[in-house]
Amino acid sequence: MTCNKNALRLVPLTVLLGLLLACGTQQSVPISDRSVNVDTQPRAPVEQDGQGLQIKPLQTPGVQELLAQSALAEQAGDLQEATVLMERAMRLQPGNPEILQRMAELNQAAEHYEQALNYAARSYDLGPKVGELCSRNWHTIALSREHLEDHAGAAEARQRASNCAVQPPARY
Amino acid sequence: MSKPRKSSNKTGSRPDAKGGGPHRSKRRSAQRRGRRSAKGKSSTAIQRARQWLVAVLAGLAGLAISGAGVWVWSLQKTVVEQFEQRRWDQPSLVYARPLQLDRGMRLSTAQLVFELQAAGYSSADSASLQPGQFRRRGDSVQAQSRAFVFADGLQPSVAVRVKIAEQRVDALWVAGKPATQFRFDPAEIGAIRGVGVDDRKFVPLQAFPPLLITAIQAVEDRQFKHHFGIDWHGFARAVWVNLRSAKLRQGGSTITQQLVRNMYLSHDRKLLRKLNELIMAVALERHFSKPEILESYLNEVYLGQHSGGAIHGFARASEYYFGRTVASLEPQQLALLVGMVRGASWYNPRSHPQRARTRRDLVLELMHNTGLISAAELAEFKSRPLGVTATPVLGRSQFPAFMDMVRRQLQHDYQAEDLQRDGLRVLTTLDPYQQHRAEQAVINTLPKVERSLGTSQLQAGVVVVDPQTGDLLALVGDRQPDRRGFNRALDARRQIGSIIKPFIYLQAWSIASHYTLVSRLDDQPISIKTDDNKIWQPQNYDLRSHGEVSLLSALLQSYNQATVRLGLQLGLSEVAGLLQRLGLLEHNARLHPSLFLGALDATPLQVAAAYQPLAADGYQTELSAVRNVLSGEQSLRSGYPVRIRQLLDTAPVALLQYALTLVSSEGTGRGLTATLGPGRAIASKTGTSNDKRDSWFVGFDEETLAVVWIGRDDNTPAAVTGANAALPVWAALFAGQGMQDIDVEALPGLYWYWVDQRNGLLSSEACPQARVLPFIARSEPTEWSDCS
Repeated sequence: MTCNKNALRLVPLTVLLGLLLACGTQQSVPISDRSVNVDTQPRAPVEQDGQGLQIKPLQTPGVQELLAQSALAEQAGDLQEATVLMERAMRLQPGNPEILQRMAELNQAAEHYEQALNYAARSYDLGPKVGELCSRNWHTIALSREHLEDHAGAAEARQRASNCAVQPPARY
Repeated sequence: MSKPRKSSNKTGSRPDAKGGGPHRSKRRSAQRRGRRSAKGKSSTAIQRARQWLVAVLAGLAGLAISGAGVWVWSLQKTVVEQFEQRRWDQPSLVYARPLQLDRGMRLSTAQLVFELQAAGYSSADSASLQPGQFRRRGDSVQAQSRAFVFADGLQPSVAVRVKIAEQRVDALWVAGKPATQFRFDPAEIGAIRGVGVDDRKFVPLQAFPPLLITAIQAVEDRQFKHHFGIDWHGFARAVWVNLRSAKLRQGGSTITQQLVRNMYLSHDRKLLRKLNELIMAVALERHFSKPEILESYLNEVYLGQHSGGAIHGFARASEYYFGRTVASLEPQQLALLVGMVRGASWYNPRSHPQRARTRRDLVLELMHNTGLISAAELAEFKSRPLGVTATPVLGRSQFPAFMDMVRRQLQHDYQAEDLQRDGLRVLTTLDPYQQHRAEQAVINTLPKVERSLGTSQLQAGVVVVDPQTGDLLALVGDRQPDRRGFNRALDARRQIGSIIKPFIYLQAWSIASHYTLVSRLDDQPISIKTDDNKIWQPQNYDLRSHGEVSLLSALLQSYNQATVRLGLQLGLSEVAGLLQRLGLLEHNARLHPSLFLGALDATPLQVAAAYQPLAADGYQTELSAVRNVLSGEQSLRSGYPVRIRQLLDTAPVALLQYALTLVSSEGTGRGLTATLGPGRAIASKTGTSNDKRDSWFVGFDEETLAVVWIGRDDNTPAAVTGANAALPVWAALFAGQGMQDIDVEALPGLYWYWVDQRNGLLSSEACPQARVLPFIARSEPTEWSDCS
């Protein structure tokens, strides 16, 4: 008898059935431009992967508020404030894979690729390993590896990203 | 009165009675000429003498005037230059981590009240709370937070209500509206100041309450707006009183004069000093505006003394006496501070409350007389208590071990001069509640341990960290935590004993799939010939060998012989490599197999740093006591972000976490259950050094990691083991805290199988010795036990 119990950490599980319309195919992003736009690189492709099995990590309302404030600061171009807000959220829920992935994306935006890679990997370790977050994890890892000149590792990470889309079991 | 005698000549000489004839006449004439000549000579000499005298006097007068001019010029130059270049040397203030509330988070009412009091909040019964006050009603706590500038900006003062239910934040209201989270302003835990640097917090004029600005003028210098540095009316009155009493007693000093005296002169009552003061006051008024002078005065005035130095300025005094910002003070509190200008020690409200109250009421009456407050307000404010906090929150730090760590961390990035004078604000990671718990655990438990073991002179070092962020939450460096001196948490390098063993087992699970929890080891006597041709024969703690045991049993019972055999299988240098990466072993250390049993010295902080990745799924983060440093202008000077690095594979770490939870329930750490209760999933490991000199205990749950060391400073045998000394201290630290057990079923990268404990093979659940255990992927046994 065998059972992988990792997913038990993510309670409650919100299974979103793949009813969303596909938005097109994922496009590779050239790495020549060192300035990173996290909205168009690690995040945008996964929005296209919004179909299939999705498992959302539990967030307290307070953490959600801090995530929202951090996103606003980031949109306003204040990466420092966005990071401070995200660290506040991290202290409330240190093992939350969504927060860890956001930390990865903020580090990537700040061109701290080593940190981006580590945070994305930790998010993946603690995360659902399927769906949108999984895809963001691997896209971030791929992009960071590209910047760190690990092209083979980046290719592997992109492959892993493409495996994140899992169809939910059929329901009768 | 006799008449003056008439004289025929102007000189008044009498004519000669003798003489006659031409010769005589000639002679007379010659004599006359001679006399005339003598008279003329005498007159000229006198005139010359007069002229000389006048010239000398004129010269002296000129010199005196010139000297006075130079003196005045010099004083003016001094006062102007120094005032222009004045620099408000301010100590750097150090703050604890802020209490961040989140709806649903674990928090008891007692803990919330403790946190507020630690941050200098005072309990109040009034319906309308002032900043820095709170009111508790059962499990509901209302507070008015204080404005504070964090790294992510200003958070203004606001009304907060927290409802606690079942030891959790059940509901939260901020400014009367339901909220999801809130962050209180943090406790000030100390200051970093240089020798001779007074305690001061500079505040610009516009940030002082208008009532303070008017009240100080009403009481100290009503003509401030109109005079040129000296108030002649006040001065003349003071001179008259002083002349009559033959001593300088009454002061008629203006605010400008007081400022000059505070900034440049002594406080003795000599005439020369007074003259200098007058000249400098006029010079100050000639070159600087009234607002500039008033701002300096409000920041400079002496308002008391604490163990850390003199308190200057209303802003700092406000925090010292009331635990509040000056902008938030009530009128009667402002009146008290204004009254204290006349004599901060004499009117100290903590040591002389009645005298201070009388003075405060007098100031309030002056404020009423000058129209600053109404008669009704006067009566109301006079009826209020002094309102000073019972214990000052400023002054000497209550947490010397932690402050020591803060200084050490900051000295990498800051010059001592900057820290001591630039008024930086250091936002640290200290958790006041955990610090309190750690201190109490040491203070209360160590005497009991000494009594039960019949030993004495034990000392302690405790480190508490958040393993996910690397935040140092608490440090205890002495069994008397407020005693300064040797900081054992950071500096006591002691043999670590068996707390090294988890790393040996981790190395096994990391490198080869044939090592599992049920792999077999020989716990048999072993002789090892070392590099120096000596024979080393390790013994078990109970002086017995236990034959074939599983890795899990060897770790749970901390068997030495089995662990040495495992270490030899893995290789001394390979194990040393892991210890070096974890910071426990120096790179040039001489290696000896006794390393497998912890024959190396480390500090409690180093042990905490080495265990941190074990509690964070293999991700290492540097332990830090500081998160942000803000400049006096409130901008971020430097941040110490949480940086993580995957140091160890997640699955072997998860396997070790599981095994360590069993140490707490079945192994050498099972004494924890007596305090924390059975069925807990807390990871832990005990450690004892040779001859029972050192006692170690390391344990962690999902949120907190703590290391406790107990031993003697002189490293003599102390009859202590990991279980009998450090464990009870650790247990006392966490007893009743509502720990967050490790969710063993959710440990990442592990797969669970039923196995027969006798042989480590797969088994049915129904087998007599069957137990479900985790395995790293593809390391599980493939053969089945016959369960016989």
